[in-house]
Amino acid sequence: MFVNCPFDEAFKAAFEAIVFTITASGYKVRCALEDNDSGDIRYDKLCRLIEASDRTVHDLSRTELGASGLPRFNMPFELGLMMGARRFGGRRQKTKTALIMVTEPYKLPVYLSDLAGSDPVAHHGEPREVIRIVRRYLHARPDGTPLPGAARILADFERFKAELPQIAAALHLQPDEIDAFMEYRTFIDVLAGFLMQS
Amino acid sequence: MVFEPGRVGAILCGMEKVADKKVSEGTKRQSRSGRYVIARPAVSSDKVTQAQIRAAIAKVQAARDAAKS
Repeated sequence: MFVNCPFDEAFKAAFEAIVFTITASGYKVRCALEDNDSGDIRYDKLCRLIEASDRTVHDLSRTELGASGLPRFNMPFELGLMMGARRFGGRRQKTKTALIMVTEPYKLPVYLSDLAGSDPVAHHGEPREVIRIVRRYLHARPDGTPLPGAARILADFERFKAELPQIAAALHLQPDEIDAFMEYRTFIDVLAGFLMQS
Repeated sequence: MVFEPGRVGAILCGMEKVADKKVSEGTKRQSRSGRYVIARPAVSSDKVTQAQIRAAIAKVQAARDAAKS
């Protein structure tokens, strides 16, 4: 399942909630952070990840100007790539589905009117809402069996967040060495291990 | 021996091998409580092994359980 969202501090808690819910639901997270090969062209990597993902989640809430005073266009671009794959791709690509999330409801048509009528879901920047939305979108495990309820996933997510610093210490890692953005590969591995023990 | 044209075709096309692989791959693992069925992550850490992660999590959870009791 492809995750397209801002990789910045303000969105980190929501990103962790997305990744936690997807993993807890039995799906594999695919995102641009997973590959640290500097020789890989970013556009090619995105195409590969989107092509391999039947389900996709896109967060279009980052409308503010960045530190450079310029907006970030990556998220709408990657959503467009997915929609292009669905529109013009082969049989499997045409079955792709997308979850589009925003911070505030009703604002998307103002800044992306081409998506009018696509019905994005607002999470208000709350990780607990993100968990509910992503779980509702996934609805079931890949094999069709039911998922735990959102409250159960949320409780386990909060426990994971609370225990993560201690897990890092037990692994002799500094907090930034297990960070969801800086050290995504370690983060996702520890998350899978935590869920296995849950 | 029974001749099964469908199976022969599947083997020739490599389909049966793929099906076998899906079964034996073991990519889905059930969590201890049975609450979660987890797919192996698409990438793995280059800093720690799964065994180290398991040991660290068990240690933290044992400390938590001890604190509760």
